[in-house]
Amino acid sequence: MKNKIFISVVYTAAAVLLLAGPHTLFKVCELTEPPMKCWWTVRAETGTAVLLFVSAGLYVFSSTTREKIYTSIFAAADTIFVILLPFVLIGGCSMNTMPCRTVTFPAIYAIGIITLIVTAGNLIVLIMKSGREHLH
Amino acid sequence: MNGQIKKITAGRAAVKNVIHQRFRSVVLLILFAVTAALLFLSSFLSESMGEGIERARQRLGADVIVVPAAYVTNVDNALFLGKPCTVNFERNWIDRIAAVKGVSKVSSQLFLASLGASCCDNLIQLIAFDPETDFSVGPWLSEKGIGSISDDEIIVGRNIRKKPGESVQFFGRHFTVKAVLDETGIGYDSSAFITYGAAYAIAGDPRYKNQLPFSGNRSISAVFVKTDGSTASEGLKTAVAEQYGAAGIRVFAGDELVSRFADTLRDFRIYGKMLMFLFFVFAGTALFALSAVTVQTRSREFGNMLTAGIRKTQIFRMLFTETALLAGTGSTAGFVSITIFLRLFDTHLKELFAVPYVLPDVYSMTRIVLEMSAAVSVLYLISLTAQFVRINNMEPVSLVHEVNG
Repeated sequence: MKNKIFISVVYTAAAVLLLAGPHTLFKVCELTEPPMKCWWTVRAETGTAVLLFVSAGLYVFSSTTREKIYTSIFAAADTIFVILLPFVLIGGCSMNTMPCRTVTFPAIYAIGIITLIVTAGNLIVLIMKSGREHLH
Repeated sequence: MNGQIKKITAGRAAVKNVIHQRFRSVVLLILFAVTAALLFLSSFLSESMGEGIERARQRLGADVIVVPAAYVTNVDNALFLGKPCTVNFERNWIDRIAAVKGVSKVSSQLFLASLGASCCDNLIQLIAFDPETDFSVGPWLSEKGIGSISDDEIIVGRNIRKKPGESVQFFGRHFTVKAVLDETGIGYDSSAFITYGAAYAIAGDPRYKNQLPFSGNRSISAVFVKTDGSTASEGLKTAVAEQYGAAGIRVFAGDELVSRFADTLRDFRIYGKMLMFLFFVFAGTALFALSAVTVQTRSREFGNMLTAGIRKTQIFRMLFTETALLAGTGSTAGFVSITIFLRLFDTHLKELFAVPYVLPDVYSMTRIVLEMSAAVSVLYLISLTAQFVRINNMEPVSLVHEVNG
């Protein structure tokens, strides 16, 4: 139960930060016409955030270790995209001093890295647990 | 089924204890991690600023800088903070300054704030320079084997994410990126360098007649001066100021502009060291207390071990390994976390401190890591000492009585 609550809280917190953060705490560049690349990146992060919410919900309702493992793998893949969107897939402004480069993207990378580390650690524990359950 | 019983060594017992006593392990991990992170952060920031200030001194290259009095703040912000400005200064000042006794070389730069750039919706500082006489960017160009640049070529600072061969557009003109300047830690990182020919062509473009404070080819923004060695920079500064001070100019010694950052750095180092010392004392005290209490609460466990014939030295070796695991893992996690944080928010920190800031070289980084490791080792020894003293004072007989009731 503790594990379910902890992991779900991590995914939910990451999702909330990815949804609201770029418009509040770590604001992305001002919207221009036409919008700059960083705006589209933040838009795309909305999708990854929603998937993290889904992962949190799925994890809470997972009853077996195997279900938790599959949910964690899904969340890990989603988190990889959280990082790849600003890094490679879409990107941002061409000036390192723009808000997207100084604050927004570093914050997104930090959220992604922390979530990935927690997920990876949890996966290791779950796989070991699954191995022990299988032996018995 | 495997009937072999694994030998319980001090190491294995230590690992099991660390996993079993989760709360204590997490607390100690966090204590070591935070200590390592803060120690590294303080040293890293002051080393980065020190490196940035030294590079600023070298990159400016000038012994004396002459600017129009009305634009002192603008030029200062452009040079050190990369805040774009357009500064208008008569070109004949080059010859007038060159004629002052003690002057060896003069060069000039023209600062031009772009209207916006195709790369980013923000002003960029364009700097027109003469590659043949310039001694800020010129030496760097020579090092890279770049002899000259043409009017449709541009050299961009590190913060402009363009590669050589790519195109950028300023004032309706296309420029091809010739090179990307190495990190300087000052405003040059957010600037782009063009020739005077390109700058005067922009100034002469009728589309920008009302947007630039000058037209034609008689403008510069600052004169950079090198002394011939017969006088120090302060002496040359005084000579120029005495001769032309009333003519609406301000004269600075190159070191003078950089030295105020050195004062900021000195203050930062003093406060940083004070905070580090206080935190170190706090962490050491907390660790000592936690270790002493831990041994006390585990006295029943140690009593069982002593009763079973395990020696005190073996118990101590187990505690040594437990603490080493926690200290090593915690401080590594702290160091890695803060390194990732500093790397991610590198540019933001530069803007926050408003001080020239460049990542330290490998040797400085190694020294910082060794200093941090030495400090964490002291904490580790404090923790071990607390445990050693408690265990050494334990009477097996009294513990056995306690165990057996």
